[in-house]
Amino acid sequence: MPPKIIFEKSVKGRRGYRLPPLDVPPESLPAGMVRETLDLPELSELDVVRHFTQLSQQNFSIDTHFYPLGSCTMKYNPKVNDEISGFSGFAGIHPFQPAEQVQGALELMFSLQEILSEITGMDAVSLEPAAGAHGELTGLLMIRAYFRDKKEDRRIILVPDSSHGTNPATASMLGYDVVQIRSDARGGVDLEHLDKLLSENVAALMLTNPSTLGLFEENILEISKRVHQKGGVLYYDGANLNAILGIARPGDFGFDIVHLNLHKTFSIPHGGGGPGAGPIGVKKYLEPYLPIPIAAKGTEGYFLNENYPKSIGRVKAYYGNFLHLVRGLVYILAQGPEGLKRIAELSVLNANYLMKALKPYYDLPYDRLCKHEFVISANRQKKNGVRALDIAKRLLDYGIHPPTVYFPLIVEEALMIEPTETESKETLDHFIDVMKKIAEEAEKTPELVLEAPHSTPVARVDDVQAARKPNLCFNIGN
Amino acid sequence: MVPNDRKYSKEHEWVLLNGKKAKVGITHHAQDQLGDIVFVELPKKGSTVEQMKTCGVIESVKAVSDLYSPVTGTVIEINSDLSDHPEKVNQDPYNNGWIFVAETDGSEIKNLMSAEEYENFIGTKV
Amino acid sequence: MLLPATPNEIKEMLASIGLNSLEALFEDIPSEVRLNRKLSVPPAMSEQELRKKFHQLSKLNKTLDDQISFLGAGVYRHDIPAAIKPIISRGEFATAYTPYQAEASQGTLQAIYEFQTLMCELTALDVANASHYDGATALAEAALMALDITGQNEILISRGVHPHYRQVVETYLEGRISSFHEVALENGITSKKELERLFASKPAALIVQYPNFFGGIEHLEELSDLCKKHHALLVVSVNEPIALGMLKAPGELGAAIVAGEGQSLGIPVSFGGPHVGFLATKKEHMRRIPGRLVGQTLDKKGNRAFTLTLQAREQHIRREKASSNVCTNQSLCAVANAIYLSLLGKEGFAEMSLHSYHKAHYAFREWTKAGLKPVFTSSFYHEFPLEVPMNANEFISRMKKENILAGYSLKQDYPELPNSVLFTVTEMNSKEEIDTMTQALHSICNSNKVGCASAS
Repeated sequence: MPPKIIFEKSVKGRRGYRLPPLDVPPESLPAGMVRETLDLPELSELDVVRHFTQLSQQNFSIDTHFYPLGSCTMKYNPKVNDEISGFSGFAGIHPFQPAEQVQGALELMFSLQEILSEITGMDAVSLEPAAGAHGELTGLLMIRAYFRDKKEDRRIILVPDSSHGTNPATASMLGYDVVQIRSDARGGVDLEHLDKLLSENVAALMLTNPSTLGLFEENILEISKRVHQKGGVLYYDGANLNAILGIARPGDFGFDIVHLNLHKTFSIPHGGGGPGAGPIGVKKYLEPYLPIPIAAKGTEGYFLNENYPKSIGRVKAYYGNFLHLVRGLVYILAQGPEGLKRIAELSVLNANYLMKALKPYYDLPYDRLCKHEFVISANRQKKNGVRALDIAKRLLDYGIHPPTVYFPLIVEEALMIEPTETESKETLDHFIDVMKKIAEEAEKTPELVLEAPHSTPVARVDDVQAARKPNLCFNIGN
Repeated sequence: MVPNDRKYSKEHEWVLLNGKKAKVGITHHAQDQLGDIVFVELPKKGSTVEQMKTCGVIESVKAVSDLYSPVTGTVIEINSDLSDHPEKVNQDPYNNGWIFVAETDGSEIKNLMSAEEYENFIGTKV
Repeated sequence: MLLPATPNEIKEMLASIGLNSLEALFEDIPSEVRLNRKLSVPPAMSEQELRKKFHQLSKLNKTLDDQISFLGAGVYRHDIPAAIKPIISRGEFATAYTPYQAEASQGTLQAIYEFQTLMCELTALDVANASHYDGATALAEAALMALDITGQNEILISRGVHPHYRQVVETYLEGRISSFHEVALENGITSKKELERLFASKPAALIVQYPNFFGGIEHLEELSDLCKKHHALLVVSVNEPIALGMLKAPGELGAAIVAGEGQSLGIPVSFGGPHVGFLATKKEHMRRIPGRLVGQTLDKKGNRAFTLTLQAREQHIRREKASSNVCTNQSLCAVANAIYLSLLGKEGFAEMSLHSYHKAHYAFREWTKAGLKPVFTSSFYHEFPLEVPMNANEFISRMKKENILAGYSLKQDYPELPNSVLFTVTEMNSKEEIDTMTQALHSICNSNKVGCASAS
């Protein structure tokens, strides 16, 4: 039986929370301004706890399942991060308290800014953006401000055809024209095409390195040279930083702006879709445009510096997703320099191990040393009508969350696999076994795959109906 | 074989000209590529459309496609049935799945493709 | 944190891919760009050391609970029911990914669907999305929606909107609009006189906050009528949703879009984040709303199921034609909001709302009696500015000595109010705390006759 919606469990007169008695004389209510109806559910605390606990049990999560989602870095989220970010001294402070009352928070932000600069090879960091896409928005706003300052009217942003959707979406949100660069046969940026497209009208090239194919961009130094020759800015989408932590730094191979995904590389929980945190780092020449405020150290202690006259302004209220910044710093300090490098080494080892083992059963469009993730294609399975989507659904029956599917767009029937460094060899071997089984099923008993999933709380969902007749709000009146 | 009583654009729209009235829709190939269509954003009645400029949107579960007008003129009729039944574009793209009718002098229609030319066009794509 | 791979396993795995060392895994990275030194970060710390270090850091912060606090201004100290944290700390919620695979994510999807429904109910609108980064960015997206819907390219924004929110809207809209007019206040709410004049610029929308930054209750119905007359949309920012437990909902009064901040609904003050924004709108604007939407549908067996829907508008499909670039939102915080509203329920939420209102009005009466001057006379919810008998910052310093965090100094954002402080009172402030402040005011006014209104 599918669980009821919380409104359907409501019983008139129930309450789950009690306030203390009102200890002041009541004031008369403002005439004509008071609402007459408010249909919130009425439940006991047990009703609510049971409801949401049961809901949670319908989810796949890292804590319960292997989650090889390419481009998402679903690594284990250490619980000490949550414990520490929950200290009342962090959760119980208000952003408008005077600086002398929040020196601990400001020192923490300042330290994190410094550490992230070191990890990425950049000169200055803002912790304000709330997510990767938000970091991209901030970065592009800064690029726009930079060119305006130079009185150069550049209208174009270049993105590779393998890019994450947020890259072109962000660029066009800001009114840029987005032009796609082809990937060459090796999966890297096609240099010839780049040359054709580069001009004094190009504001920036946005790249992920390793790319979304999990491949390190071999020509990165050459690409950087050419972009800078035309006065453009090189932007780094930090989604794939996990592969090169402690091994190489984007600031050292030509990037001018970097955004990080703390909820990917730095183990902050994904929360079912957020909250995240997307700090950005920049080279010195872009520092004046950073969003305000930036944590700074003065003679009288730490403070929030708003003295950036060329700043793009604020991109969110207050200072960033602070409790996540705490989690991020705890994580980094738990690793130390060797630990950070180890993360890159083992995430890349795990990915290559899987890639080699899966090669006999699935098409491998780029058969070369990968980094922390790789892409296979379900083209071979297509002859019995089995597609990447079906394989994804069948994995659920085996208790494994599917990899990312149909991304990047340049590979047909793509399955992007990123195991991360926190998975053990047994988990990887089990995954290989299961993928082998599914390949066999696709061959011999394709209906099993086509009709999957069979064992999840719901069967395959009708998303056509959901989009044709959207039901986005429960009709409480019923 | 696509109906040969009409003309075709590179953006996979068809035009059926009847005097000064041009009926517009998308081809079978287009709806097949899009998959199950969930929403059609129709141009407004009375608005002007220009050949090769966008005039609406067709949304499926997995993709969104701009609708490019194959003619230049004024929209005089729209298929409002598609608001509740966007699937008609999938089921019957050349008849009940029509999208709008524009009043046009039809002079620009001659630079569109014939049925045979369009067949070749999608043939090379495949 | 310790990784599982043992030296033997590493050897085995390397062997299986034909490599000799971990080093060999990075031969595709040009040596010119290799970092040939250790990262300059502190050495690894164990859990015990981490706890100690961060405990010390946290002790350098003085929390709101450690003093008497009347500080609000957009971030509010409210009681947080105990049941919320254990639920959202569950790994199944916290460590799940975005629910792209519906069959693996019914828990998150249903919880968000319930959140959407609750936001619709609070705001009296038809459609709400699955959350945004915060109230400020949600408001910026609402402004972009208004531009999109109307095709106009000007915005009117009241000075009663939170200063940070106005700044964020300006940042987001830069380059998209030809002008951004701030509408002055009259007696603490948006001036209708000013508006009559400014509507001539044919704006896409008028943005107001409800209750506004000064706690003032804007006359939304009148504003909505004005907007309709001029074919503009009324966009309402709700920074304090607890107010909606007693005040009429913006949707009832003509708001086309509501952009709100859900921090008050079960989320700690957290030095400003993570909080949670939400967007709600009328049915006819459903396809323009950015961000994720969870819809109810059926599965193949005919059972009720939930899924992300209308995804074609979003970045991962529409790419450069997407209406917004938002990907990760604040999902877990939205779930916390849903749990909060479910626990309080119909009666509890209304009562919670009234407590802040009554306490704030008691404080207002006592403190004005004690000598502070009211700045406005319009109706307010739980915040109000008062003129203090000295420089506002000095006043706040004096109060700190009594272990009272008096409020927010308005001078930096509203230079026309150099000696005024914004006071906020919620259900967390007991009568004793309010009376303690009254006493402190008496001693200031007794020792400093200048500037205090004579006690009546």
